[in-house]
Amino acid sequence: MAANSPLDLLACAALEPALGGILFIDLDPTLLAAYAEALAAGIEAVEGRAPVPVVLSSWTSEEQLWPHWGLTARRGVLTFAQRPGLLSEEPGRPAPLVVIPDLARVSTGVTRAAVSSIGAGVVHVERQDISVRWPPTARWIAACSRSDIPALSPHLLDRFQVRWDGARAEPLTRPLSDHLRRITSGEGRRRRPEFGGDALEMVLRANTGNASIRRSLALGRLARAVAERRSHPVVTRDDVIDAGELLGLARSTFLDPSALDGPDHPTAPTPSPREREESRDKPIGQPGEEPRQPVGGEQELAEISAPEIVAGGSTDLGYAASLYPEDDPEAVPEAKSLQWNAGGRLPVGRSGGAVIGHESAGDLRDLAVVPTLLRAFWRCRRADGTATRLHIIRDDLRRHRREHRAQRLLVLVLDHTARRDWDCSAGVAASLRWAYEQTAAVSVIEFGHRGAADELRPERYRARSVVDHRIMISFGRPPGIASPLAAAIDMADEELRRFMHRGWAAVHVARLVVVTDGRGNVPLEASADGHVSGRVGREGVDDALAAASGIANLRRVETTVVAPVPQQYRTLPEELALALGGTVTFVHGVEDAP
Amino acid sequence: MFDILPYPLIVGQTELREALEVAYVGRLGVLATGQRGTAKSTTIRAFSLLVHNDLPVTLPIGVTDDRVLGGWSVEALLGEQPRPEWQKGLLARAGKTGMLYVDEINLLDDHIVNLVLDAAATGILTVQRDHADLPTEQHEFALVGSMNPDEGPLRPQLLDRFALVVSVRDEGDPATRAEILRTLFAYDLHRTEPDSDFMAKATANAQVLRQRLHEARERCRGVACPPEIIEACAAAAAAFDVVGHRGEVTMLKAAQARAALDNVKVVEVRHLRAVAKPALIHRRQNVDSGTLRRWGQAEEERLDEILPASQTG
Repeated sequence: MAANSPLDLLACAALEPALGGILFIDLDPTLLAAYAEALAAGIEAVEGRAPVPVVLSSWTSEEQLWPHWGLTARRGVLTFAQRPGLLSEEPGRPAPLVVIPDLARVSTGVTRAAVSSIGAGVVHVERQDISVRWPPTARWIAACSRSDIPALSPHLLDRFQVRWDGARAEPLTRPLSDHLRRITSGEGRRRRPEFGGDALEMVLRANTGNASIRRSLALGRLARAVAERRSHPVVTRDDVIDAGELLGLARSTFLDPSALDGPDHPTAPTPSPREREESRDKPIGQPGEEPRQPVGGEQELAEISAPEIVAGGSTDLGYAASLYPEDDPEAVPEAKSLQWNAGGRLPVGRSGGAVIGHESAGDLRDLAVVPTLLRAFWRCRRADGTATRLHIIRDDLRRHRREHRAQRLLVLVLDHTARRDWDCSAGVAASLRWAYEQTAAVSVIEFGHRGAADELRPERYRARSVVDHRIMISFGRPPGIASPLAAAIDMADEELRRFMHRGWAAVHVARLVVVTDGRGNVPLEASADGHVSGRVGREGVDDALAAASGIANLRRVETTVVAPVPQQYRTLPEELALALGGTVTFVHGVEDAP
Repeated sequence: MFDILPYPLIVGQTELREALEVAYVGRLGVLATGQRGTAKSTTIRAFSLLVHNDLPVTLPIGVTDDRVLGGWSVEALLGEQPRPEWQKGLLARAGKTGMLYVDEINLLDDHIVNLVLDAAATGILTVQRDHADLPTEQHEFALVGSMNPDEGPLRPQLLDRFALVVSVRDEGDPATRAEILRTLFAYDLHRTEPDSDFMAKATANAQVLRQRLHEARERCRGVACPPEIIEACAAAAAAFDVVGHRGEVTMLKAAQARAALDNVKVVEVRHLRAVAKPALIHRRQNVDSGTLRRWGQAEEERLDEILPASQTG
């Protein structure tokens, strides 16, 4: 029976530095610390140096992660000193072992650090006169609740390809380090196993879906660690199968697809819980272990139940959807992890947008290091232009002045063709009031009016606030004929992402108001090409619905479709609202108002 | 020692590799846009190690403006004998190497983007900040970027600064995927053994390729563009409704570089055809959206009509 306990996974992780992040799903919170401790001991056994455990959480700021300047008292005077970050690495010093108790609630700085460090060949830091780079060797383990995974960015999940279901978790009963020392002691670590063609084929066969190549790399490297534990000089097919089991892969995944064509597969009995328990207690991966029968052909069919169920694993071929939700081609997770202010808060020490100057500091937040030092320098400077070693006094302290940026956004999409004999103001008034009260920035996307520069393309302008005179002019435009609704929805999607995903002071909350009857008559491609070719049919409507799906997955966006009380095509605004993940408000026209 | 796969060992990503090589020879910029896990950054870094013997000057997410433009050295101010000492920024460093790499470029703060845009557009860097008034300097560099379009589009003004744009996709061919894994697993084992057959072969291939690229770069400016090539270039730009004239200019420069790589002295239509897609894909009229428009079979066929591969100038 294969060895698939957490201890086995951690042993493999200790042996294989390039495995990437390990994500434990629905893990008993008390176990993560124990697993981290065991992994640290395992790494020490393999590499001869224990890593430094570093716990990262929702309150870890970007400044704490990377090298930075901090105020410090030296020889009785206040000055600045460079401090290493939690993720800093230097030659000859132990690397960090990063532990994240809840990956879904970690700060944005940590998320960006994970994306830019795990599996990267180099980390660059260019901040406040600090310019350093190093090859990252930190190991990362994290935990996360199953229900939170679909909301995580695929970018982040891509760095955690090894996932372990908490349902299979168990306390560690024996030290990891003893076993690993046996492998790496004596004549020193043997040469790591090479990959054979068969094993490579098995790794590729496991990747049946939409997974990135990092998944195959993780499986292959895990298999190599399994082989190393067994003192195999070459990675075998069985090593790959057992590594797959560590990832929750059903053994049937590795069957040759052609072998599955038969009507009935002979099935071997699934081992009882007792048999599984016994198998766990057996020594694993010992040198001289009996090689198992090769997998393939009739032998394969006789040995492997199809499908065999591993807790938290797939009952079908391939990786379990509950552990790897991003494999679903239809999945469009909310891309939040790389944006700032995901939790509605600015990073520690940040108070706004881009730096536009500096000012006297009343406290120690967001200090401007260079202006503070320059001020101290001018104060300490002697007549001959030289200065003694700088000490900083309270009057020297300067902090950044930052550009004000609105933290609320209203995106207003106006389909003027729908506004024929209809006053939509009752439907948009609440949002305009909200924008006024919140001093929200406003983006207006409008189309379908007479005098448009190009009737097949929407137009956009950005206003600093809702009192911008152009907005009232927009509400008075005479309706035209063409309705490039799809291009307008696409543009609204870009606008929301642009404001919500970029920079230090990205927008926290946005409202999208789409004033339309849903009757888009210009396909997306026609808007791009600048001309309509052939019959359009429902294409414009369908394109708009497709474009809307991207917006539905954005968090912190409240969407409303404002539509005239319909004479016909009532379902179109409703379909659009549904696709946008919002609500629809029908407003009576001027003539038929109650 | 950085753990970057040597450039000759990169499998697949043919379009990106070709674009990087053409861009290096023609002193142009490249944007690689594509999904996660497609080795965009690895390929770019490996290419820089190949041609510059060093990693690219990199502008990472979270960079501060003093590092971009330059600023007073904190260490010099904190020394035993404090003095204001100007520390050059990444733009100046990029001017020396000729390349500035921006990872996750679509996530950069707008004000940092503006700084890069100005310098990339003009090649001129004028710094007046923190009581410093520095003489104007000339810093020309090729802007190389990578991004994941899932995180949002790029500002059209910045998109326009890239001579070539490549849409990078996962390698779908099973044989290529197998070769990628085979290479990476072998690299895992041999990367610390420069004398191993595996690494020695990669090093030898790198030397040959580096030499070829340097020679092509030297002769690139001497490659002639006959009038009919210029006319064909203009026709292609017009057929694709290209905004402005930068598209034609960069397409011609890229075609010159392609010809130099082929070691011929005159640009032929096939060279234009080879660089047309990456030179035009991001320049087609698309209002003020930064999203790349679809490029499919119809576009390829239209290019085949305008720039038939059999025509030789």
